Amino acid sequence: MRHVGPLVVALLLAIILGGCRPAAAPPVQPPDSGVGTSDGATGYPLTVTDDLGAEITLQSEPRRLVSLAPSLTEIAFALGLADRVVGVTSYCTYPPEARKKPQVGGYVNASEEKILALSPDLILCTRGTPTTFISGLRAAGLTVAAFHETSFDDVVRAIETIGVLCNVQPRARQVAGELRQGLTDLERQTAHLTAEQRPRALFAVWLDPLFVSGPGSFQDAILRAAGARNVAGTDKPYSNLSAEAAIAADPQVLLLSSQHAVVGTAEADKTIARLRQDPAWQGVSAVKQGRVVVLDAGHVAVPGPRLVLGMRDIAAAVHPDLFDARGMQ
Amino acid sequence: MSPLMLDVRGLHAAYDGADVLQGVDLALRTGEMISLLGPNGSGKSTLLRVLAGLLPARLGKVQLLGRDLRAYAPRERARLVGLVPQYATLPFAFSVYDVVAMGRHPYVGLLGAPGAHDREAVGLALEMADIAHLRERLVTELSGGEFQRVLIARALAQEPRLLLLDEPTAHLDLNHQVDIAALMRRLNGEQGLTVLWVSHDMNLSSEYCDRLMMLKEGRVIADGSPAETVTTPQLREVYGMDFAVAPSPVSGRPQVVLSRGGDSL
Amino acid sequence: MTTTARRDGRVFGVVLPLILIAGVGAGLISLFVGAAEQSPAQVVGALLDGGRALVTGHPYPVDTLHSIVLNLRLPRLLLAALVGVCLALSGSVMQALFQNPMADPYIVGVSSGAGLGAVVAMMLVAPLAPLGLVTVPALAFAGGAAVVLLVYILSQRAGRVHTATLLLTGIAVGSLVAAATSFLLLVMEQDLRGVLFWLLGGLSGRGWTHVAMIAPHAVVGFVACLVAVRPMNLLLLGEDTAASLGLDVGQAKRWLLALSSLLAAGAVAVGGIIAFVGLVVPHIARLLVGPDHRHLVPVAAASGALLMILADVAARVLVAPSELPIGIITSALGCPFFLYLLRRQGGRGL
Repeated sequence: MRHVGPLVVALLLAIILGGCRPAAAPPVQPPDSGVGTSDGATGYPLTVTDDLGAEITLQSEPRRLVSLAPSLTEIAFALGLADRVVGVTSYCTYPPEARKKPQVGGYVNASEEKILALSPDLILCTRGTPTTFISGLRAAGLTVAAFHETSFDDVVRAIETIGVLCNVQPRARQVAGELRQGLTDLERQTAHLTAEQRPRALFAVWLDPLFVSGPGSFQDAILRAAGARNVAGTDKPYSNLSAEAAIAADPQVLLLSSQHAVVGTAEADKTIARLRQDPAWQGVSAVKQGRVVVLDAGHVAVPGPRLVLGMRDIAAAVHPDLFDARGMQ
Repeated sequence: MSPLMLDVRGLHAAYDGADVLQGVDLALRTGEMISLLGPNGSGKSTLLRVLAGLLPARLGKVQLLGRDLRAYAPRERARLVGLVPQYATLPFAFSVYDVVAMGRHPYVGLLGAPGAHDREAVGLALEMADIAHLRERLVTELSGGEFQRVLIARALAQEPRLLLLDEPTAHLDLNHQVDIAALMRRLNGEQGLTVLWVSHDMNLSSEYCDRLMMLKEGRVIADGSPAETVTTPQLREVYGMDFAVAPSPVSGRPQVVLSRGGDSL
Repeated sequence: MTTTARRDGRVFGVVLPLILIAGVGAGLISLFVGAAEQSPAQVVGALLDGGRALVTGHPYPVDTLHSIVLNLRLPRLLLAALVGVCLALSGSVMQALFQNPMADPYIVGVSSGAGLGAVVAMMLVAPLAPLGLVTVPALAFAGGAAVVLLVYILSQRAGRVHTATLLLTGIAVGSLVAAATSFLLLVMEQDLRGVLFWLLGGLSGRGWTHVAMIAPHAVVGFVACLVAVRPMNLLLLGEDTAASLGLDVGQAKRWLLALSSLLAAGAVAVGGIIAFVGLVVPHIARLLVGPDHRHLVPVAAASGALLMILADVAARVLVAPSELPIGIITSALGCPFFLYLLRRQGGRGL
């Protein structure tokens, strides 16, 4: 996670100025609504509507992919498309092989020239990529598919859609199915819990300033499935929250996305220690009971296949009595 | 002979690196009133700035009451020398009284409180400048002539022995020019104040001053009574043009008479 | 319209108590409202417990109510007031220093300079580490002073500073410094979110540590401003006049430069870059009580505190449970009031 500056600025602006709810994203046509085929093979030419509402047409199976987001890079690799990926961003560090791919720049400041030079036949991007940049690429004759990955369903659908676009539907269904199954399993295992037994929880994407996951985010879906009550108290998927509101909500479990602090390292311990020493937070149940947990951002903050691990981590943090961190029982 | 207020010998002063004054001599006795004249760039304002302590002499001697001007502490000097700078509007809405009262800074200092004598001095300064009735007005609401009097009153509140004025009548209506000149004359005559007045106005200077000094390119060209200095040959030397000079029908003092016939030399 | 010195004096005697009362009222509001719903009785109880703990050393109960009132709202209230005092006084001093009512810590670039200094400090040491408590304000001060000195030297022509030159120089130098800050942020591979948010300006997430950070700046700065009222008044008359009245102008300007930087650095170190307050509050104060710094300094300090307290309440309450950056609020509150006063006062000048 180097050079997060521009990324952070873009996200901050997006969140502060725009609110975070995607403007009624036109639904991607799910694979079973005509685009996907029952035999698992995609027919070309293929026309789909992406999450920005743009119709994109693929004349043939794409062979040269450029990914403009770490999560999409992870999905592409998980779908066995590693050989077809010809360009990634400098933030795409997982899987490790992704680092060896040519880099086209940062998240919000990729080089148009570099992308053109790679002559990709499909570019994958998220809402983190400025729309003007996308239209520029399209004007240059390139095919760009944009994905919103806000909710858990968004993530699953992105995986399935990429499977359709790249003619790897069976593998996509398998990866997407694992995610769906993981969530269903969690729900099943926590179904018996009473409201009392579901702890008040807060998932902080960032601690300073405090940014939390609210309803509509994939973290919220996982929290609820894992048997917790999300007390973010906002109506947006991601929102900054005043310390006062967070403390007043008195979370019993406080989950922090690791960012730079790698789980289990001194850095993570320092973050926790800082919170414990802050007089304002000392009255909060999660702090008093030592239930502030730093989770690997790669598992819990990247909307991709590794959410399977994220579900395990979150469940273990929320209900250590029911789940352990080595895997769902 | 009264003692010397100012004794300037061989003064050189530089502005932005170049010598603007090139060996100026000036002996000013207490109680004198002198007008400093000369074309633009002749160095009159620079001389005034040196005398006010705003600009150091590069060479030469400047003595105030027999003591090197640089030996005075700023506030000590300010109790002896009052300056009325060139007219410039003040963008801040101080009251007349407040501006004049700032003339007491040399006595009150950073943290002292003004005493009865300070208030007395401010009241007197306001009266001398004929603006006692304006004391509560804001300086931003005054006419040019009124504001000039405020600046003079502020200098008077310093209770100075020497009053320096930089073109106090410039930018004023004719009636205010005469008023201000008369005020300076009165201060000189009644209060015994030594006055050094930088001016552009030959006729006003001739009418109100007993001594005129003319500068050109940083040197003194003429120094003497109006009769000695306001003459066609002297003016030619200073301004490079022939002017007709005639005695005033009222006072008999020499006056420059402007006519279309002036020949350029 | 004729306004008189006596009127200014009388107005001062009325205005200052009114602003102080309003400030206390705003302070109470800020203690009683927030994202968390606490009854007034609960808040009073928590405050009493806190007071008792301070006097007797008996700890108050560790729960969310006490945390929110004693460790969030109370320090936030003090911070808002102190930041307001620092910004308003920094602007007042700068306007006297430049003899120009358009000067303000943001426009002159001292805020950006202090920002650069603080960013460097944050990169060298963690802001909340014991060392950071000293390093951040110290480097913010150094950066602010360096920039204001540079702008002053560059915009000076023959001893005078003209508005246009000042504004353009300030903008140019400010941009350069901001660019340097961005460059630093990019090349230093660190967690920059905190730094970036801090640069946006705001009081969110600040606590008692930050109160300790800014308090010396505000207290020393306020006292120094009171000491400097006469030199500041004299400078408003012009540098030549001030010098002829026995002021050591060079020395006075060096001190005022240091003073304005000290004040701006305090505000920037805890609140980031909050524009507008430093420009508008001294103007408002001047329109209320005139330019005399004996009146202006206390009124500007009190108004700055009042404005910032109100702005902070709004920032915390308007979009609760989220928070707005406080700069949005200060502009929204300060600008219309300023325009109203300006129109009402017509040609009275500044």
